[in-house]
Amino acid sequence: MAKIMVVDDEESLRELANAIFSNEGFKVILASSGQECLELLKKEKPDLILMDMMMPGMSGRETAEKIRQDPKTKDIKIVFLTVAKFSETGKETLDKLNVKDYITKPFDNTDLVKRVKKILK
Amino acid sequence: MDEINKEGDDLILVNLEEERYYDKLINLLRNITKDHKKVCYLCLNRPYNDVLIDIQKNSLDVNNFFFIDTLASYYKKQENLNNCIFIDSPRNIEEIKKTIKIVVNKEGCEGLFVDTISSLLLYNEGSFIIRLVHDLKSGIITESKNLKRSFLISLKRDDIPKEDYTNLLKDLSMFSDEVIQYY
Repeated sequence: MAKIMVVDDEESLRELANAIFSNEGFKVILASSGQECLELLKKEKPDLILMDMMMPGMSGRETAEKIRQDPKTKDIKIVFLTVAKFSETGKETLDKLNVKDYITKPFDNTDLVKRVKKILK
Repeated sequence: MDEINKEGDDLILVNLEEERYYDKLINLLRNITKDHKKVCYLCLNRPYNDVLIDIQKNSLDVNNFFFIDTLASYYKKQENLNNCIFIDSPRNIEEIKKTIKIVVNKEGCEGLFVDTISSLLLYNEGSFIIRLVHDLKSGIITESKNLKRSFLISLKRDDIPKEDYTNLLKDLSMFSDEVIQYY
């Protein structure tokens, strides 16, 4: 069973993602901030992190940088959630951070699951 | 400075340093007004009066601008003018967003000049600033009929913690079509 961590400051989005992925047989871990994500990663090793780009405190980009710096977590697959599309500069940063994909909000549930499953294959 | 008016770029981030900051701002404005009929000027670093003096002193046409001042009313309530709206506080991001939208549409602005986005770090956490830019990019810029480009000016100031400034720049770059180092 694949394990996915959802990091978003919006409770409604965490609940929605939890319902969607639990229904698909994933084990879901929820975090409400970048800081909480990093704390949870000390004891959990998800196969994929689905993370909001824009959160209070640590942004998704900053959290991803820290994940990549830690030898224990550097290989975890990351997918960003964002409202605004990334620019070319942004896409270069995603490449540097080895972020596998990004999904714009609001998203289509079926499409979200499809893309996450494809990355996990 | 040719890249400042590049076709297809919606959002341009210009990084400045304090040395000759005001000269560089004027130079930027001179270039921007060549290609943008009306510019919405968001004052986050200096109040409207100071900016106006600088613009007039450098022989730029003041009629090319409509101002949104977030600073003057923070200390003393100001009455709106025919070319300036005063917002109560630079902390009020929602009001800033709403006013930009109104001004850009009502005045038919072709450019938005944010002077200086990083100054908002003095009043707000970085994520609120990113949210403002996010909303500019995904809403105001795409929905506006006339707006061609938005220019975010950032300035390395000693009174803003270096780490906060660096993180803000990195996050802003993710959504900027062009990042210009103007040193």
